[in-house]
Amino acid sequence: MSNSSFLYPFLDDDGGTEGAGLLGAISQSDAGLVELVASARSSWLLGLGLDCDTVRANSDALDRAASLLSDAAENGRRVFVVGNGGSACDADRFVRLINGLIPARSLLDPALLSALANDVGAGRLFDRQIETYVGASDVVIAFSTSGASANILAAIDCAHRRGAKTLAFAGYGGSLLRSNPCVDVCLSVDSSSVHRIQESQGAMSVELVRRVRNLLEVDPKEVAAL
Amino acid sequence: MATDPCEAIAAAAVHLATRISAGGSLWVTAPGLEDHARHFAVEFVHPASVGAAAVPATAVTGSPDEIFLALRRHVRPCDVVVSVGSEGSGFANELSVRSLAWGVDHLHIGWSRDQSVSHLNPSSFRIWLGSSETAEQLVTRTYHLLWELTFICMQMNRRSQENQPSARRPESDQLPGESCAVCSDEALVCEVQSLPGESLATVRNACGTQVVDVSLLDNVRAYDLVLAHAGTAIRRLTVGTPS
Repeated sequence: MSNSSFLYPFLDDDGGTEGAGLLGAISQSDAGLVELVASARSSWLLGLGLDCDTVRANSDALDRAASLLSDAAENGRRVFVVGNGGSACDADRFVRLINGLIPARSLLDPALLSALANDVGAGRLFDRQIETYVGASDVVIAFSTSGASANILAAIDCAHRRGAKTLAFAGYGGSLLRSNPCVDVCLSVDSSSVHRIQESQGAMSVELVRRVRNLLEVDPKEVAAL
Repeated sequence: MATDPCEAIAAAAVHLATRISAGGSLWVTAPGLEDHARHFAVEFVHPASVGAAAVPATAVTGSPDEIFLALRRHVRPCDVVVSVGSEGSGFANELSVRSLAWGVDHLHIGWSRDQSVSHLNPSSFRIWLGSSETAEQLVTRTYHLLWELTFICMQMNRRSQENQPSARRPESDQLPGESCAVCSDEALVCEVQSLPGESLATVRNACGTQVVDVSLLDNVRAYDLVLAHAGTAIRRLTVGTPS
């Protein structure tokens, strides 16, 4: 089995079909395409199910995270997000979703990141920036699929020492971020597939923003009672 | 009923694998949703699966005009331009027509009010995720699966070629060459590059560049899209926000 077998269970199983493989089969008949569609549908449904399970399992943590963010918004604090690779993009997406409710930005400027990677090291990409930008009671949100990236752990540690609140999205059941004393709230995905983890973290991001909005918005009934 | 884009994802993956295997690059755009454009590119350049080949994919960001300018400079035959977002913005529809003039394929991942109504050019690949912006939540899973299936197809394609070293791509899939059969007698979508003389325009189309007569049209400007037949621009194409 290859390293990717957990993602592609049938990759190593072409059964010696005339040596033509899946794409050959696709060009000869619809059979290969049917198999490809079935594979996609299996992953699609698995992902949707994981999204639901993850939001349900993290419901209390999502409430605590929403309170943390709405408190920060009401006290004029700011949100800073960090992440590596696809998680950096997911962090940017979170900024896109939450902006308007609370000032949020990512610590992902490519010039700064390359300067730090080149001169200090990849392990210090974020804590150096957190030392510079983040104040006490601001919020630092880390996105990590592995839950174990050195620069994310350093970022959380640094933010905690500065008195900031910390929120972590972490895969592999939360990994090293789950029981980390520097993490105020950990939103964990119980999966070992990088892709499915990121997708369920995305689902939790949407749910978290929804709960923050609910906490910050004045209840329409209260307005009617005035 | 829940949206099921899996057939469209599989069809797009087969096509992407063919283009990538032939040396094509991916150019990913998502005005207003740049995080998705960058994440899409990361998946293909730096795959989650250890040992998987890196595919040249690039996120192109900025305003729609800046994106079109960058794509116009960089795309080559065999490339695929990708857009992510609402079809209602008009950007995807414009990209679907401009990609014809540039001679590249277009894949759109997004949403629109009605699945049965598409303002994209029919030649575009379309992965429809729903009728509202909540479909944005499905975008990440879509390009993850697109990469997973494209990777599988490329693996199979490579194995197939190793076992059949004499296998060649079908004739219809060859890059447009010096003797492009397409140009000879068909109306082609063209993008105006420059106006070298009165009633003349240098245009780009699927077969390269050529000079066409634009005297039938008024006020032709650079970047206009026109339909040309037998060396003459016969109609201006208007693209933009669908009604």
